[in-house]
Amino acid sequence: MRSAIAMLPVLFLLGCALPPNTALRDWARLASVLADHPDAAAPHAPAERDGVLAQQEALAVYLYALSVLATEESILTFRADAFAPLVPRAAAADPAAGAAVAEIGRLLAAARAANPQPGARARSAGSPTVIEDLRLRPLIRAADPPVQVLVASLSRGTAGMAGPDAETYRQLLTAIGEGHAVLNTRATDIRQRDVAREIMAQEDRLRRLMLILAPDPAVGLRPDPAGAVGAVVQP
Amino acid sequence: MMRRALLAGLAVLPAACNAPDYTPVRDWARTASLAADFPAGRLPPPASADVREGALAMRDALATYLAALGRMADDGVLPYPENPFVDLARQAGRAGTGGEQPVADLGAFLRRATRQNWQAPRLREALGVADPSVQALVRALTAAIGRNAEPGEPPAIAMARAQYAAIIVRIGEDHALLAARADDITDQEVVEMIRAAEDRMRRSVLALPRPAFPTGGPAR
Repeated sequence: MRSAIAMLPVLFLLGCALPPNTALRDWARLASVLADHPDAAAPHAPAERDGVLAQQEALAVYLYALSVLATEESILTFRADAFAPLVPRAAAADPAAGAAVAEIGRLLAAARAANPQPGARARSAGSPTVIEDLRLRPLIRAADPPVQVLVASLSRGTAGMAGPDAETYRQLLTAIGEGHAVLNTRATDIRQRDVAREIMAQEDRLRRLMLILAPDPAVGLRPDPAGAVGAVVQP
Repeated sequence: MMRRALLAGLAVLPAACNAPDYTPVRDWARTASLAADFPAGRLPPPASADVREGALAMRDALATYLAALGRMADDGVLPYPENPFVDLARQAGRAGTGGEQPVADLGAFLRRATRQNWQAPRLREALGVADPSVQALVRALTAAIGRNAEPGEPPAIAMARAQYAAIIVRIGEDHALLAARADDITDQEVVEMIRAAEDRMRRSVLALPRPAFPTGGPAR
């Protein structure tokens, strides 16, 4: 009993003192913005170009979904019918990437199905049911192989391109792949402050590349600048 | 019994530390302020110096208001004991697209919010009060941007202008969304909508052209 009372000040510290841990959300949001770079697909033949674009879009969609799920008990939007066309398009350029995109679609559909009921937490105060969000860690682990396949396929897709921008985009893909590998190995402790700092270092890498990646006017001129991300994972 | 009630009270206290979380609004407002600040008003060649000056004034007013909104969402006190847009409103009028009144109104709003010490608890109210002026300002600014375009301008400049006009229109739409959903602005569903709006804004900002390096003159 006494020790329970002693624990209370610690609870206060947890409740008030620590800043919110947004490292994973920030990394995933930035990675999603940067992965969507239609310029990098420009020099390909039309069929292959469309495949590269679809792979970029699928990667950006997954990363945005990850940024949503990084906040526990968040409500994930995922429109499977808007995502489905990406699979054959990506497969047209690279069959392995097509399979990876399909796998990501399955994982995100499952994560969406596990959305908490609105207000579940508020109601749980009066009932013994504890709402636990168990989606994040399994999703990171299950999605790592397809993410690595997509990153590798996209890097190969830009291999023929010369110029500083293609080089920056390649570095960016490497950084996203390595960043996700860090998430995968640290998935168990993904909320620890120490891991948060590691993720922040990964975000820092992306931010440095962001500043030298050439702006892509095609993104700004789309009716919805979020493109496929807006159509699939944004409300 | 007494002790149990006391314990329950203590256990509930940490929950009281959680004031409503307006960080999505703050982050959207800061990103939008950054987006609005793009120097598109200076894009060459200006069809008319008056329109350009007016557009620049409206841009400054919009960016300042959005930054102030972000500050309010972060529970900050605003630093405008007097209407900060007196000169800007006059300058905005030079464009001839009706920008004078909304700029003056936003300045008056900032003065009122500062004098009455509006902070996060009055954010929802503030969104509703300022929204009509923001919408009018967005209309006036897009009209001024369009009026300054020339049919024969280089494609890079036409593209930058179109991108910037789209950002201003989107700021208006997003602000209308915030005002419409002000009452349930911390609901998870609305939070996701605001975060998505911020995500779109970030993508638009990154897609804007950046000033190129000045090409060095002849070597000496």
